Amino acid sequence: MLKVEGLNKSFHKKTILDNLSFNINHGEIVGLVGENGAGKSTLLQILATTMKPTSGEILLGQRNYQKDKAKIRKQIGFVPQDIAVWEQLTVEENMTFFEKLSWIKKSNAQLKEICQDMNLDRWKEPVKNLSGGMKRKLNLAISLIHDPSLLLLDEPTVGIDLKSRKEIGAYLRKQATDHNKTIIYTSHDMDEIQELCDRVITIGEDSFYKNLLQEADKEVLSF
Amino acid sequence: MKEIIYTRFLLLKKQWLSLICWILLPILIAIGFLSTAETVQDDFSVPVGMVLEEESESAFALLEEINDSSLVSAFQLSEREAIRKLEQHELDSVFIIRQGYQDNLQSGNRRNLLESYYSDRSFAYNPVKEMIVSIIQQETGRIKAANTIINLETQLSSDQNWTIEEIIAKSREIQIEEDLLQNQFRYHGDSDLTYNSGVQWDPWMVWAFASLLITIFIFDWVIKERKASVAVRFPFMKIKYPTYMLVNVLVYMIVLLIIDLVTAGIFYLLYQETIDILSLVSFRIMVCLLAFLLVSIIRNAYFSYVAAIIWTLVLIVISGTVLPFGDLGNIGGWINLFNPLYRFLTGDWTIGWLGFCIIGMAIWYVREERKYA
Ligand SMILES: Nc1ncnc2c1ncn2[C@@H]1O[C@H](COP(=O)(O)OP(=O)(O)OP(=O)(O)O)[C@@H](O)[C@H]1O
Ligand SMILES: [Mg+2]
Repeated sequence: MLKVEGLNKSFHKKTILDNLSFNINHGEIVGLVGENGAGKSTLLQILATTMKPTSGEILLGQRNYQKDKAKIRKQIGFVPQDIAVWEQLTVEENMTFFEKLSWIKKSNAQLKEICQDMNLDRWKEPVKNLSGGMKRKLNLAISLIHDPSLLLLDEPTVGIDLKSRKEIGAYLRKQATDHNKTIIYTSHDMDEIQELCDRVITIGEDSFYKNLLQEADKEVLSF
Repeated sequence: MKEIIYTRFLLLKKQWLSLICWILLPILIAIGFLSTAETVQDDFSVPVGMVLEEESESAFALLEEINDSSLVSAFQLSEREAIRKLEQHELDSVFIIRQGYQDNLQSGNRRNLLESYYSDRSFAYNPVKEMIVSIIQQETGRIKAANTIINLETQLSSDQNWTIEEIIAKSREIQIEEDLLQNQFRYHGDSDLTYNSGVQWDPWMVWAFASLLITIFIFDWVIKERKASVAVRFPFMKIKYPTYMLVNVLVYMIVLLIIDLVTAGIFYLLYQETIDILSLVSFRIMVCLLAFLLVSIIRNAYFSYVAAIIWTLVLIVISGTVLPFGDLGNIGGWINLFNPLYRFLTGDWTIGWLGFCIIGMAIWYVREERKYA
Protein backbone atom coordinates (compact mmCIF):
# COMPACT_ATOMS: atom_id res chain seq x y z
CA MET A 1 0.00 0.00 0.00
CA LEU A 2 2.71 2.48 0.98
CA LYS A 3 5.88 2.35 -1.02
CA VAL A 4 8.96 4.42 -0.17
CA GLU A 5 11.97 4.46 -2.52
CA GLY A 6 15.33 6.10 -1.88
CA LEU A 7 14.00 8.70 0.51
CA ASN A 8 16.45 11.34 1.70
CA LYS A 9 15.98 14.34 3.92
CA SER A 10 18.55 16.84 5.05
CA PHE A 11 18.32 20.11 6.89
CA HIS A 12 21.09 22.54 5.95
CA LYS A 13 23.34 19.80 4.60
CA LYS A 14 22.81 17.72 7.73
CA THR A 15 21.37 14.41 6.57
CA ILE A 16 18.62 13.13 8.82
CA LEU A 17 17.06 10.43 6.65
CA ASP A 18 19.51 8.58 4.45
CA ASN A 19 18.20 6.53 1.55
CA LEU A 20 15.14 4.90 3.08
CA SER A 21 13.24 2.27 1.08
CA PHE A 22 10.42 0.11 2.38
CA ASN A 23 6.94 -1.22 1.64
CA ILE A 24 4.03 -1.35 4.02
CA ASN A 25 0.94 -3.46 3.39
CA HIS A 26 -2.73 -2.94 4.13
CA GLY A 27 -3.72 -3.73 7.70
CA GLU A 28 -0.17 -3.67 8.96
CA ILE A 29 1.04 -1.92 12.11
CA VAL A 30 4.59 -0.74 11.75
CA GLY A 31 6.60 0.71 14.63
CA LEU A 32 9.10 3.47 14.05
CA VAL A 33 11.86 3.68 16.63
CA GLY A 34 15.07 5.59 17.13
CA GLU A 35 16.76 7.82 19.67
CA ASN A 36 15.66 11.43 20.19
CA GLY A 37 16.46 13.47 17.11
CA ALA A 38 16.86 10.41 14.90
CA GLY A 39 14.24 11.74 12.50
CA LYS A 40 11.04 9.84 13.40
CA SER A 41 8.84 12.91 13.39
CA THR A 42 10.54 14.08 10.22
CA LEU A 43 9.74 10.82 8.46
CA LEU A 44 6.12 10.89 9.65
CA GLN A 45 5.70 14.44 8.43
CA ILE A 46 7.07 13.51 5.03
CA LEU A 47 4.70 10.54 4.88
CA ALA A 48 1.91 12.92 5.91
CA THR A 49 2.77 15.25 2.98
CA THR A 50 3.37 18.20 5.28
CA MET A 51 7.12 18.12 4.65
CA LYS A 52 8.89 17.67 1.34
CA PRO A 53 11.71 15.11 1.12
CA THR A 54 15.03 16.23 -0.31
CA SER A 55 14.79 13.37 -2.76
CA GLY A 56 13.10 10.02 -3.24
CA GLU A 57 9.71 8.74 -4.29
CA ILE A 58 6.68 7.81 -2.27
CA LEU A 59 3.53 6.10 -3.48
CA LEU A 60 0.29 5.54 -1.63
CA GLY A 61 -1.54 2.87 -3.61
CA GLN A 62 -1.21 4.15 -7.18
CA ARG A 63 -0.90 7.76 -6.11
CA ASN A 64 2.31 9.68 -6.27
CA TYR A 65 3.10 12.02 -3.39
CA GLN A 66 4.37 14.73 -5.67
CA LYS A 67 1.45 14.79 -8.06
CA ASP A 68 -1.59 13.83 -6.03
CA LYS A 69 -0.95 15.52 -2.75
CA ALA A 70 -4.51 16.72 -2.28
CA LYS A 71 -6.02 13.29 -2.81
CA ILE A 72 -3.43 11.57 -0.65
CA ARG A 73 -4.18 13.92 2.24
CA LYS A 74 -7.79 12.81 2.26
CA GLN A 75 -6.58 9.29 3.06
CA ILE A 76 -4.23 10.27 5.85
CA GLY A 77 -5.00 10.45 9.54
CA PHE A 78 -2.15 12.30 11.20
CA VAL A 79 -1.81 12.29 14.98
CA PRO A 80 0.72 14.97 15.93
CA GLN A 81 3.27 14.50 18.68
CA ASP A 82 1.96 17.61 20.47
CA ILE A 83 -1.68 17.32 21.44
CA ALA A 84 -3.67 19.31 18.90
CA VAL A 85 -7.09 19.94 20.41
CA TRP A 86 -9.02 22.98 21.66
CA GLU A 87 -8.43 23.02 25.40
CA GLN A 88 -11.38 25.32 26.08
CA LEU A 89 -13.91 23.18 24.21
CA THR A 90 -15.51 19.98 25.45
CA VAL A 91 -14.81 16.58 23.91
CA GLU A 92 -18.07 16.82 21.98
CA GLU A 93 -17.34 20.34 20.73
CA ASN A 94 -13.85 19.32 19.65
CA MET A 95 -15.21 16.43 17.64
CA THR A 96 -17.91 18.62 16.11
CA PHE A 97 -15.47 21.40 15.32
CA PHE A 98 -13.22 19.14 13.27
CA GLU A 99 -16.11 17.22 11.75
CA LYS A 100 -17.45 20.50 10.34
CA LEU A 101 -14.18 21.16 8.55
CA SER A 102 -13.67 17.57 7.52
CA TRP A 103 -14.12 15.69 4.23
CA ILE A 104 -16.77 13.41 5.64
CA LYS A 105 -19.98 14.34 7.42
CA LYS A 106 -20.65 12.37 10.57
CA SER A 107 -23.56 12.43 12.95
CA ASN A 108 -23.14 13.27 16.58
CA ALA A 109 -23.75 9.61 17.43
CA GLN A 110 -21.03 8.47 15.05
CA LEU A 111 -18.58 10.92 16.54
CA LYS A 112 -19.45 9.75 20.02
CA GLU A 113 -18.91 6.17 18.95
CA ILE A 114 -15.33 6.86 17.87
CA CYS A 115 -14.60 8.20 21.33
CA GLN A 116 -16.38 5.41 23.14
CA ASP A 117 -14.51 2.77 21.15
CA MET A 118 -11.35 3.87 22.87
CA ASN A 119 -13.02 4.37 26.25
CA LEU A 120 -13.13 8.15 26.04
CA ASP A 121 -16.46 8.65 27.69
CA ARG A 122 -16.36 12.14 29.19
CA TRP A 123 -18.22 13.54 26.25
CA LYS A 124 -19.40 16.83 27.78
CA GLU A 125 -16.23 17.55 29.72
CA PRO A 126 -14.03 20.53 28.76
CA VAL A 127 -10.72 19.19 27.54
CA LYS A 128 -8.75 21.26 30.03
CA ASN A 129 -10.27 19.12 32.81
CA LEU A 130 -9.25 15.84 31.21
CA SER A 131 -6.28 13.66 32.18
CA GLY A 132 -3.31 13.32 29.86
CA GLY A 133 -4.50 9.92 28.74
CA MET A 134 -7.92 11.25 27.82
CA LYS A 135 -6.38 14.08 25.85
CA ARG A 136 -4.21 11.63 23.92
CA LYS A 137 -7.29 9.60 23.09
CA LEU A 138 -9.10 12.67 21.84
CA ASN A 139 -6.02 13.67 19.86
CA LEU A 140 -6.31 10.31 18.12
CA ALA A 141 -10.09 10.35 17.77
CA ILE A 142 -10.05 13.69 15.92
CA SER A 143 -7.61 12.32 13.37
CA LEU A 144 -9.98 9.46 12.62
CA ILE A 145 -13.08 11.52 11.81
CA HIS A 146 -12.60 11.40 8.03
CA ASP A 147 -12.01 7.60 7.96
CA PRO A 148 -8.39 7.69 6.77
CA SER A 149 -6.84 4.50 5.47
CA LEU A 150 -3.29 5.39 6.50
CA LEU A 151 -2.77 6.34 10.14
CA LEU A 152 0.42 8.14 11.08
CA LEU A 153 0.83 8.48 14.83
CA ASP A 154 3.67 10.38 16.44
CA GLU A 155 4.14 9.04 19.98
CA PRO A 156 0.41 8.56 20.60
CA THR A 157 0.96 7.00 24.00
CA VAL A 158 3.69 9.17 25.45
CA GLY A 159 3.32 10.12 29.09
CA ILE A 160 0.14 8.23 29.90
CA ASP A 161 -0.69 5.42 32.29
CA LEU A 162 -0.58 1.76 31.40
CA LYS A 163 -4.37 1.34 31.26
CA SER A 164 -4.90 4.12 28.74
CA ARG A 165 -1.91 2.87 26.79
CA LYS A 166 -3.38 -0.61 26.58
CA GLU A 167 -6.73 0.84 25.54
CA ILE A 168 -5.16 2.87 22.76
CA GLY A 169 -3.10 -0.16 21.69
CA ALA A 170 -6.15 -2.39 21.57
CA TYR A 171 -8.00 0.20 19.58
CA LEU A 172 -5.22 0.49 17.01
CA ARG A 173 -5.02 -3.28 16.69
CA LYS A 174 -8.75 -3.41 16.04
CA GLN A 175 -8.48 -0.67 13.41
CA ALA A 176 -5.77 -2.62 11.59
CA THR A 177 -7.37 -6.04 11.81
CA ASP A 178 -11.08 -5.22 11.47
CA HIS A 179 -10.91 -2.12 9.29
CA ASN A 180 -7.78 -2.94 7.30
CA LYS A 181 -6.07 0.33 8.21
CA THR A 182 -2.38 0.79 7.75
CA ILE A 183 -0.75 2.22 10.84
CA ILE A 184 2.71 3.65 11.34
CA TYR A 185 3.52 4.89 14.79
CA THR A 186 6.46 5.94 16.87
CA SER A 187 7.10 5.11 20.47
CA HIS A 188 9.95 4.85 22.92
CA ASP A 189 8.22 2.04 24.77
CA MET A 190 9.76 -1.22 23.54
CA ASP A 191 7.23 -3.42 25.35
CA GLU A 192 4.45 -1.67 23.53
CA ILE A 193 6.29 -1.90 20.19
CA GLN A 194 6.89 -5.61 20.64
CA GLU A 195 3.32 -6.27 21.65
CA LEU A 196 1.60 -4.25 18.97
CA CYS A 197 3.72 -4.08 15.86
CA ASP A 198 3.94 -6.52 13.02
CA ARG A 199 7.22 -5.01 11.91
CA VAL A 200 9.62 -2.34 13.11
CA ILE A 201 11.64 0.27 11.28
CA THR A 202 14.60 1.67 13.19
CA ILE A 203 16.32 4.83 12.11
CA GLY A 204 19.35 6.70 13.39
CA GLU A 205 23.00 5.95 13.96
CA ASP A 206 22.57 4.22 17.28
CA SER A 207 22.07 0.46 16.87
CA PHE A 208 20.72 0.11 20.40
CA TYR A 209 17.07 -0.36 19.40
CA LYS A 210 17.95 -2.54 16.45
CA ASN A 211 19.90 -4.97 18.63
CA LEU A 212 17.26 -4.91 21.32
CA LEU A 213 14.47 -5.78 18.91
CA GLN A 214 16.43 -8.38 17.00
CA GLU A 215 17.13 -10.17 20.27
CA ALA A 216 13.39 -10.16 20.86
CA ASP A 217 12.89 -11.78 17.49
CA LYS A 218 10.99 -8.96 15.76
CA GLU A 219 11.20 -8.33 12.07
CA VAL A 220 13.34 -5.21 11.93
CA LEU A 221 14.20 -2.91 9.06
CA SER A 222 17.08 -0.59 9.85
CA PHE A 223 18.26 2.61 8.18
CA MET B 1 -19.28 28.55 4.82
CA LYS B 2 -22.04 27.42 7.16
CA GLU B 3 -19.64 24.92 8.69
CA ILE B 4 -16.97 27.51 9.33
CA ILE B 5 -19.48 29.85 10.91
CA TYR B 6 -20.56 27.03 13.19
CA THR B 7 -16.97 26.33 14.27
CA ARG B 8 -16.55 30.01 15.06
CA PHE B 9 -19.71 29.89 17.09
CA LEU B 10 -18.28 26.97 19.10
CA LEU B 11 -15.18 28.97 19.93
CA LEU B 12 -16.94 32.26 20.62
CA LYS B 13 -19.50 30.60 22.86
CA LYS B 14 -16.75 30.14 25.44
CA GLN B 15 -15.83 33.79 25.56
CA TRP B 16 -18.99 35.62 24.60
CA LEU B 17 -18.93 37.80 27.69
CA SER B 18 -15.45 39.14 27.12
CA LEU B 19 -16.15 39.49 23.41
CA ILE B 20 -19.25 41.59 24.07
CA CYS B 21 -17.28 43.78 26.44
CA TRP B 22 -14.59 44.35 23.83
CA ILE B 23 -17.09 44.97 21.07
CA LEU B 24 -19.00 47.54 23.07
CA LEU B 25 -15.89 49.25 24.37
CA PRO B 26 -15.54 51.82 21.52
CA ILE B 27 -19.09 53.04 22.19
CA LEU B 28 -18.40 53.29 25.91
CA ILE B 29 -15.10 55.06 25.29
CA ALA B 30 -16.82 57.59 23.03
CA ILE B 31 -19.64 58.24 25.50
CA GLY B 32 -17.24 58.32 28.43
CA PHE B 33 -14.89 60.67 26.65
CA LEU B 34 -17.63 63.06 25.63
CA SER B 35 -19.16 63.26 29.08
CA THR B 36 -15.80 63.78 30.79
CA ALA B 37 -14.85 66.37 28.21
CA GLU B 38 -18.10 68.16 29.02
CA THR B 39 -17.66 68.05 32.78
CA VAL B 40 -14.05 69.14 32.49
CA GLN B 41 -15.24 72.06 30.43
CA ASP B 42 -17.99 72.86 32.89
CA ASP B 43 -15.58 72.70 35.79
CA PHE B 44 -13.03 74.69 33.97
CA SER B 45 -14.34 78.20 33.95
CA VAL B 46 -12.27 81.25 34.71
CA PRO B 47 -13.17 82.88 38.05
CA VAL B 48 -13.56 86.61 37.55
CA GLY B 49 -14.47 89.27 40.09
CA MET B 50 -17.01 91.88 39.12
CA VAL B 51 -17.36 95.11 41.07
CA LEU B 52 -20.49 97.10 40.36
CA GLU B 53 -20.00 100.75 41.23
CA GLU B 54 -23.48 101.41 40.02
CA GLU B 55 -26.33 98.99 40.33
CA SER B 56 -28.11 99.90 37.12
CA GLU B 57 -30.07 97.64 34.86
CA SER B 58 -27.35 97.68 32.21
CA ALA B 59 -24.68 96.77 34.77
CA PHE B 60 -26.65 93.75 35.95
CA ALA B 61 -27.39 92.78 32.37
CA LEU B 62 -23.68 92.77 31.63
CA LEU B 63 -22.96 90.65 34.71
CA GLU B 64 -25.62 88.20 33.70
CA GLU B 65 -24.38 87.94 30.17
CA ILE B 66 -20.82 87.31 31.30
CA ASN B 67 -22.07 84.55 33.56
CA ASP B 68 -23.94 82.96 30.67
CA SER B 69 -20.66 82.07 29.07
CA SER B 70 -19.31 78.65 29.97
CA LEU B 71 -15.82 80.10 29.95
CA VAL B 72 -16.24 82.48 32.84
CA SER B 73 -17.80 82.46 36.27
CA ALA B 74 -18.29 85.99 37.45
CA PHE B 75 -18.60 86.79 41.16
CA GLN B 76 -20.04 90.08 42.27
CA LEU B 77 -17.81 91.46 45.02
CA SER B 78 -16.80 94.66 46.69
CA GLU B 79 -13.68 96.27 45.26
CA ARG B 80 -11.56 95.49 48.33
CA GLU B 81 -12.68 91.92 48.52
CA ALA B 82 -12.10 91.43 44.82
CA ILE B 83 -8.59 92.81 44.89
CA ARG B 84 -7.74 90.72 47.95
CA LYS B 85 -8.87 87.58 46.14
CA LEU B 86 -6.98 88.58 43.04
CA GLU B 87 -3.82 88.93 45.11
CA GLN B 88 -4.36 85.48 46.47
CA HIS B 89 -4.91 84.24 42.94
CA GLU B 90 -8.39 83.08 43.73
CA LEU B 91 -9.60 85.24 40.88
CA ASP B 92 -8.04 85.46 37.48
CA SER B 93 -8.91 89.12 37.06
CA VAL B 94 -11.24 91.80 38.34
CA PHE B 95 -13.45 94.12 36.32
CA ILE B 96 -15.05 97.21 37.78
CA ILE B 97 -18.16 98.59 36.16
CA ARG B 98 -17.66 102.30 36.65
CA GLN B 99 -20.15 104.74 38.01
CA GLY B 100 -22.15 106.15 35.08
CA TYR B 101 -21.92 102.98 33.05
CA GLN B 102 -25.51 103.02 31.89
CA ASP B 103 -25.47 106.70 31.01
CA ASN B 104 -22.22 106.43 29.13
CA LEU B 105 -23.49 103.41 27.32
CA GLN B 106 -26.64 105.18 26.22
CA SER B 107 -24.89 108.30 25.12
CA GLY B 108 -22.58 106.15 23.04
CA ASN B 109 -19.52 106.96 25.07
CA ARG B 110 -17.45 103.85 25.18
CA ARG B 111 -14.59 105.20 27.20
CA ASN B 112 -14.08 104.54 30.88
CA LEU B 113 -16.91 102.13 31.15
CA LEU B 114 -14.74 99.56 32.83
CA GLU B 115 -11.65 99.33 34.89
CA SER B 116 -9.72 96.14 35.31
CA TYR B 117 -7.12 94.53 37.55
CA TYR B 118 -5.00 91.61 36.75
CA SER B 119 -1.92 89.90 38.06
CA ASP B 120 1.10 88.22 36.54
CA ARG B 121 -0.81 84.99 36.85
CA SER B 122 -3.93 86.17 35.06
CA PHE B 123 -3.70 83.67 32.25
CA ALA B 124 -7.17 84.24 30.95
CA TYR B 125 -7.20 88.01 31.30
CA ASN B 126 -7.02 88.81 27.60
CA PRO B 127 -9.76 86.49 26.34
CA VAL B 128 -12.03 87.48 29.23
CA LYS B 129 -11.42 91.15 28.56
CA GLU B 130 -12.16 90.66 24.89
CA MET B 131 -15.32 88.83 25.70
CA ILE B 132 -16.58 91.58 28.02
CA VAL B 133 -15.64 94.25 25.52
CA SER B 134 -17.50 92.43 22.81
CA ILE B 135 -20.60 92.17 24.98
CA ILE B 136 -20.43 95.88 25.62
CA GLN B 137 -19.90 96.57 21.96
CA GLN B 138 -22.93 94.54 21.21
CA GLU B 139 -24.89 96.65 23.65
CA THR B 140 -23.52 99.98 22.43
CA GLY B 141 -24.08 98.88 18.87
CA ARG B 142 -27.67 98.22 19.64
CA ILE B 143 -28.13 101.56 21.35
CA LYS B 144 -26.37 103.32 18.53
CA ALA B 145 -28.70 101.70 16.06
CA ALA B 146 -31.67 102.68 18.19
CA ASN B 147 -30.45 106.25 18.45
CA THR B 148 -29.89 106.42 14.71
CA ILE B 149 -33.40 105.28 14.11
CA ILE B 150 -34.80 107.75 16.60
CA ASN B 151 -32.81 110.51 15.05
CA LEU B 152 -34.14 109.51 11.70
CA GLU B 153 -37.61 109.48 13.15
CA THR B 154 -37.27 112.96 14.53
CA GLN B 155 -35.73 114.13 11.33
CA LEU B 156 -38.53 112.73 9.28
CA SER B 157 -40.99 113.82 12.00
CA SER B 158 -43.12 110.81 11.75
CA ASP B 159 -46.04 110.54 14.05
CA GLN B 160 -44.88 107.28 15.47
CA ASN B 161 -43.08 107.66 18.75
CA TRP B 162 -40.55 104.96 19.56
CA THR B 163 -38.70 105.04 22.79
CA ILE B 164 -35.16 103.73 23.05
CA GLU B 165 -36.38 100.84 25.19
CA GLU B 166 -38.89 99.82 22.55
CA ILE B 167 -36.28 99.84 19.85
CA ILE B 168 -33.80 97.85 21.93
CA ALA B 169 -36.52 95.34 22.66
CA LYS B 170 -37.26 95.16 18.96
CA SER B 171 -33.58 94.70 18.18
CA ARG B 172 -33.37 91.86 20.72
CA GLU B 173 -36.32 90.26 19.05
CA ILE B 174 -34.62 90.50 15.71
CA GLN B 175 -31.48 89.11 17.25
CA ILE B 176 -33.32 86.00 18.37
CA GLU B 177 -35.23 85.61 15.16
CA GLU B 178 -32.32 86.17 12.86
CA ASP B 179 -28.76 85.35 13.43
CA LEU B 180 -27.63 88.54 11.87
CA LEU B 181 -27.09 90.84 14.75
CA GLN B 182 -25.69 88.16 16.91
CA ASN B 183 -23.14 87.10 14.36
CA GLN B 184 -21.77 90.54 14.25
CA PHE B 185 -21.05 90.57 17.92
CA ARG B 186 -20.00 87.05 18.49
CA TYR B 187 -17.24 86.65 20.92
CA HIS B 188 -14.46 84.78 19.23
CA GLY B 189 -14.19 81.27 20.65
CA ASP B 190 -17.56 81.32 22.32
CA SER B 191 -19.39 80.48 19.18
CA ASP B 192 -22.98 80.51 20.30
CA LEU B 193 -24.20 82.98 22.86
CA THR B 194 -27.58 81.44 23.38
CA TYR B 195 -26.29 77.86 23.63
CA ASN B 196 -23.11 78.08 25.62
CA SER B 197 -21.26 74.90 24.96
CA GLY B 198 -17.54 75.12 24.61
CA VAL B 199 -15.79 72.86 22.12
CA GLN B 200 -18.16 70.30 20.64
CA TRP B 201 -16.60 66.82 20.40
CA ASP B 202 -17.77 64.53 17.67
CA PRO B 203 -18.58 61.10 19.16
CA TRP B 204 -17.76 59.45 15.82
CA MET B 205 -14.28 60.88 15.91
CA VAL B 206 -13.55 59.45 19.35
CA TRP B 207 -15.25 56.24 18.30
CA ALA B 208 -13.12 55.90 15.15
CA PHE B 209 -9.86 55.88 17.10
CA ALA B 210 -11.22 53.58 19.80
CA SER B 211 -12.67 51.31 17.16
CA LEU B 212 -9.39 50.97 15.27
CA LEU B 213 -7.54 50.12 18.47
CA ILE B 214 -10.13 47.69 19.81
CA THR B 215 -10.57 45.95 16.46
CA ILE B 216 -6.86 45.15 16.41
CA PHE B 217 -7.18 43.83 19.97
CA ILE B 218 -10.18 41.71 19.02
CA PHE B 219 -8.28 40.28 16.05
CA ASP B 220 -5.69 38.72 18.31
CA TRP B 221 -7.60 35.48 17.70
CA VAL B 222 -5.75 35.30 14.38
CA ILE B 223 -2.42 35.13 16.18
CA LYS B 224 -3.68 32.74 18.81
CA GLU B 225 -5.19 30.38 16.28
CA ARG B 226 -2.23 30.42 13.99
CA LYS B 227 -0.06 29.46 16.93
CA ALA B 228 -2.58 26.99 18.32
CA SER B 229 -1.56 23.37 18.27
CA VAL B 230 -4.61 22.53 16.14
CA ALA B 231 -3.12 24.43 13.19
CA VAL B 232 -1.27 21.23 12.17
CA ARG B 233 -4.61 19.59 11.40
CA PHE B 234 -5.62 21.91 8.59
CA PRO B 235 -3.74 20.10 5.80
CA PHE B 236 -5.92 17.06 6.46
CA MET B 237 -9.22 18.84 6.30
CA LYS B 238 -11.53 19.75 3.50
CA ILE B 239 -11.64 23.39 4.46
CA LYS B 240 -8.25 24.91 4.00
CA TYR B 241 -6.62 27.27 6.41
CA PRO B 242 -6.84 30.43 4.22
CA THR B 243 -10.52 29.81 3.52
CA TYR B 244 -11.17 29.19 7.19
CA MET B 245 -9.44 32.43 8.12
CA LEU B 246 -11.14 34.46 5.42
CA VAL B 247 -14.63 33.33 6.40
CA ASN B 248 -13.87 34.04 10.03
CA VAL B 249 -12.73 37.54 9.19
CA LEU B 250 -16.05 37.92 7.41
CA VAL B 251 -17.94 36.68 10.47
CA TYR B 252 -16.19 39.21 12.69
CA MET B 253 -16.80 41.90 10.13
CA ILE B 254 -20.52 41.24 10.05
CA VAL B 255 -20.84 41.08 13.83
CA LEU B 256 -18.92 44.34 14.16
CA LEU B 257 -21.00 45.95 11.41
CA ILE B 258 -24.18 45.11 13.27
CA ILE B 259 -22.74 46.65 16.41
CA ASP B 260 -21.75 49.71 14.35
CA LEU B 261 -25.32 50.18 13.22
CA VAL B 262 -26.41 49.96 16.85
CA THR B 263 -23.73 52.53 17.62
CA ALA B 264 -25.17 54.81 14.96
CA GLY B 265 -28.55 54.49 16.67
CA ILE B 266 -27.10 55.22 20.09
CA PHE B 267 -25.15 58.26 18.88
CA TYR B 268 -28.24 59.56 17.18
CA LEU B 269 -30.29 59.24 20.35
CA LEU B 270 -27.61 60.69 22.61
CA TYR B 271 -26.04 63.36 20.43
CA GLN B 272 -28.36 63.73 17.43
CA GLU B 273 -25.33 62.79 15.33
CA THR B 274 -26.11 61.21 11.98
CA ILE B 275 -23.68 59.33 9.81
CA ASP B 276 -23.44 58.30 6.19
CA ILE B 277 -23.99 54.54 6.28
CA LEU B 278 -21.61 53.91 3.38
CA SER B 279 -18.93 55.88 5.10
CA LEU B 280 -19.43 53.72 8.19
CA VAL B 281 -19.55 50.43 6.29
CA SER B 282 -16.48 51.16 4.17
CA PHE B 283 -14.64 52.24 7.30
CA ARG B 284 -15.57 49.09 9.17
CA ILE B 285 -14.55 46.75 6.37
CA MET B 286 -11.27 48.58 5.98
CA VAL B 287 -10.53 48.46 9.72
CA CYS B 288 -11.23 44.73 9.92
CA LEU B 289 -8.99 43.93 6.98
CA LEU B 290 -6.31 46.26 8.26
CA ALA B 291 -6.43 44.68 11.71
CA PHE B 292 -6.22 41.23 10.16
CA LEU B 293 -3.26 42.13 7.97
CA LEU B 294 -1.51 43.83 10.87
CA VAL B 295 -1.78 40.85 13.22
CA SER B 296 -0.82 38.53 10.36
CA ILE B 297 2.38 40.45 9.87
CA ILE B 298 3.20 40.93 13.55
CA ARG B 299 2.49 37.33 14.61
CA ASN B 300 2.91 38.07 18.30
CA ALA B 301 -0.09 39.06 20.38
CA TYR B 302 1.82 41.23 22.82
CA PHE B 303 3.64 43.17 20.10
CA SER B 304 0.40 43.64 18.23
CA TYR B 305 -1.17 45.29 21.28
CA VAL B 306 1.80 47.61 21.69
CA ALA B 307 1.89 48.40 17.97
CA ALA B 308 -1.85 49.10 17.96
CA ILE B 309 -1.59 51.52 20.87
CA ILE B 310 1.39 53.37 19.44
CA TRP B 311 -0.16 53.55 16.01
CA THR B 312 -3.45 54.87 17.35
CA LEU B 313 -1.62 57.55 19.32
CA VAL B 314 0.33 58.57 16.22
CA LEU B 315 -2.90 58.78 14.23
CA ILE B 316 -4.52 60.90 16.92
CA VAL B 317 -1.57 63.29 16.71
CA ILE B 318 -1.41 63.48 12.91
CA SER B 319 -5.16 63.90 12.74
CA GLY B 320 -4.72 66.99 14.91
CA THR B 321 -7.93 66.18 16.68
CA VAL B 322 -6.81 66.36 20.27
CA LEU B 323 -3.62 68.33 20.23
CA PRO B 324 -4.16 72.03 19.72
CA PHE B 325 -2.09 72.53 16.59
CA GLY B 326 -4.86 72.87 14.16
CA ASP B 327 -7.94 71.23 12.81
CA LEU B 328 -8.30 68.27 10.54
CA GLY B 329 -6.70 69.05 7.27
CA ASN B 330 -4.49 71.77 8.63
CA ILE B 331 -1.55 69.45 8.64
CA GLY B 332 -0.06 68.86 5.21
CA GLY B 333 -2.26 66.97 2.79
CA TRP B 334 0.23 64.21 2.09
CA ILE B 335 0.31 62.99 5.65
CA ASN B 336 -3.42 62.33 5.53
CA LEU B 337 -2.75 59.72 2.88
CA PHE B 338 -1.05 57.70 5.59
CA ASN B 339 -3.98 58.09 7.92
CA PRO B 340 -6.52 55.29 7.35
CA LEU B 341 -9.06 57.17 9.45
CA TYR B 342 -8.83 60.43 7.58
CA ARG B 343 -11.57 59.77 5.07
CA PHE B 344 -13.94 58.60 7.76
CA LEU B 345 -13.18 61.55 10.00
CA THR B 346 -14.00 63.93 7.19
CA GLY B 347 -17.25 62.07 6.54
CA ASP B 348 -16.16 60.45 3.26
CA TRP B 349 -16.13 56.85 2.12
CA THR B 350 -12.92 55.04 2.92
CA ILE B 351 -11.90 54.11 -0.61
CA GLY B 352 -8.13 54.28 -0.94
CA TRP B 353 -7.27 52.38 2.21
CA LEU B 354 -10.03 49.88 1.56
CA GLY B 355 -8.53 49.16 -1.87
CA PHE B 356 -5.09 48.91 -0.31
CA CYS B 357 -6.37 46.41 2.28
CA ILE B 358 -8.18 44.33 -0.32
CA ILE B 359 -4.97 44.08 -2.34
CA GLY B 360 -3.17 43.12 0.87
CA MET B 361 -5.73 40.41 1.54
CA ALA B 362 -5.36 39.04 -1.98
CA ILE B 363 -1.59 38.81 -1.56
CA TRP B 364 -2.04 37.15 1.83
CA TYR B 365 -4.50 34.64 0.39
CA VAL B 366 -2.30 33.64 -2.54
CA ARG B 367 0.71 33.18 -0.25
CA GLU B 368 -1.21 31.06 2.23
CA GLU B 369 -2.69 28.93 -0.54
CA ARG B 370 0.81 28.20 -1.79
CA LYS B 371 2.04 27.39 1.68
CA TYR B 372 -0.72 24.88 2.28
CA ALA B 373 -0.80 23.41 -1.22
N1 LIG C 1 12.57 22.21 10.34
C1 LIG C 1 13.78 21.75 10.72
N2 LIG C 1 14.88 22.46 10.42
C2 LIG C 1 16.09 22.03 10.81
N3 LIG C 1 16.31 20.90 11.50
C3 LIG C 1 15.25 20.16 11.83
C4 LIG C 1 13.91 20.56 11.47
N4 LIG C 1 13.04 19.64 11.95
C5 LIG C 1 13.80 18.72 12.57
N5 LIG C 1 15.09 19.04 12.51
C6 LIG C 1 16.19 18.26 13.06
O1 LIG C 1 16.08 16.96 12.54
C7 LIG C 1 16.41 16.01 13.52
C8 LIG C 1 15.28 15.01 13.64
O2 LIG C 1 14.19 15.60 14.28
P1 LIG C 1 12.87 14.77 14.61
O3 LIG C 1 11.93 15.68 15.29
O4 LIG C 1 12.41 14.12 13.36
O5 LIG C 1 13.41 13.70 15.62
P2 LIG C 1 12.59 12.60 16.42
O6 LIG C 1 13.18 11.29 16.07
O7 LIG C 1 11.14 12.78 16.20
O8 LIG C 1 12.96 12.96 17.92
P3 LIG C 1 12.06 12.80 19.23
O9 LIG C 1 12.21 11.41 19.68
O10 LIG C 1 12.66 13.78 20.17
O11 LIG C 1 10.66 13.17 18.87
C9 LIG C 1 16.70 16.75 14.78
O12 LIG C 1 18.10 16.86 14.96
C10 LIG C 1 16.11 18.11 14.56
O13 LIG C 1 16.85 19.08 15.22
MG1 LIG D 1 9.48 13.29 17.29
